[in-house]
Amino acid sequence: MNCETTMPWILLETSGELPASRRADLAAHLASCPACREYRASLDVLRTGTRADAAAIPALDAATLTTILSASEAGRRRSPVARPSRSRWLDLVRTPALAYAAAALFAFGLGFGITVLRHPAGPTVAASTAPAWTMDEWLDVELDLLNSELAATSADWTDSAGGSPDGSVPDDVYSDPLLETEV
Amino acid sequence: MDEQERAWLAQYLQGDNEALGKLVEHYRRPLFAFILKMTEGRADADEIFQEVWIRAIRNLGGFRAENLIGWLFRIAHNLIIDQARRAKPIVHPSSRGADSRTDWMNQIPDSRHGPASEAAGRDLGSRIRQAMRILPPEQREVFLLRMEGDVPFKEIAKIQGVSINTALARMHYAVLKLRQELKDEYRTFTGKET
Repeated sequence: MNCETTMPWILLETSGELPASRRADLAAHLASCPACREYRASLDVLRTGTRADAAAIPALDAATLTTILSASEAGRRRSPVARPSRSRWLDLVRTPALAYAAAALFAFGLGFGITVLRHPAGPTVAASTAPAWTMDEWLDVELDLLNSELAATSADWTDSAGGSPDGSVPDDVYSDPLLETEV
Repeated sequence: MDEQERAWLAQYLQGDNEALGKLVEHYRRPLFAFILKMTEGRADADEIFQEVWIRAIRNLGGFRAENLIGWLFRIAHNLIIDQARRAKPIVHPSSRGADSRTDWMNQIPDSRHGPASEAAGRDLGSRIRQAMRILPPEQREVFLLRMEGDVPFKEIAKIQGVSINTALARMHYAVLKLRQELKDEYRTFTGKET
């Protein structure tokens, strides 16, 4: 095992993402390699320095916090009750009893619709039977679209940057199928 | 997320706006430091920080992931790129003439060779901040996400839209460059050669 292989493992060890199957190999290499021990120690030094510096950042502007809290209040006024997420509703529908109930309601609605269509003289059913969206749902969709757009711009940015200082090193410099599957 | 963070999030979702204030303050240091350093202390760092939270609030009701700070970093990443591309600051109606952060990168004292280790750490920190300017943005971002935010590489790869190997390579190059750039300070701080 060489240092080129080990250094990404050291990085993954610091983030708690190193697969258990690699830990013994890494420990063995570190025991015999001063350069890699030094590399690992330098990560600690850089972290300590970066965090000491970050402790000196200015306090948050009071107006910024006020704006954030006001935006939250405004959102609550639009939707005063905490809205269950769509995934939670999907979870509910997955329970058998509710699924049967939903199916029964659907069948009833379908039967009612057919009845109405067969009796044009009956009560007129408006076309607007589509479920109304809440403001929060519209905002979710808007945010999803925005994030998709931003992800696309991010791809432009990162693709041109490459993974190396001069762009000459292949992207899979640290290619290790085990890391991709276990991390 | 730890228990306290989960509790604040749950309280906020139950209608307690003060819990949101606690979350904002709790994540202020890593998130704000990340934005400031990625924008090199640009005047709109406050506005980007604010916008991150406003966008997060809209979707907090449906938030299911484990890592709230990672999600906030992802929104910040998108906003910073978007702002850099449009090259104009986000301006909210409530915004002040926000020029107080403009010179932030240069405001923190840059004295060297302090006697105590804490002072040495700060000195090293200010030198790291300056040295980071030589890093390409994508390497600087990986370095900051790891060092400031403790964001795992798997999450960093998602944020940048690259493979985990690329995220690791970027971190590795950033560390090598910073070690080279800071070799004098590093020797002072640790008493060792790099």
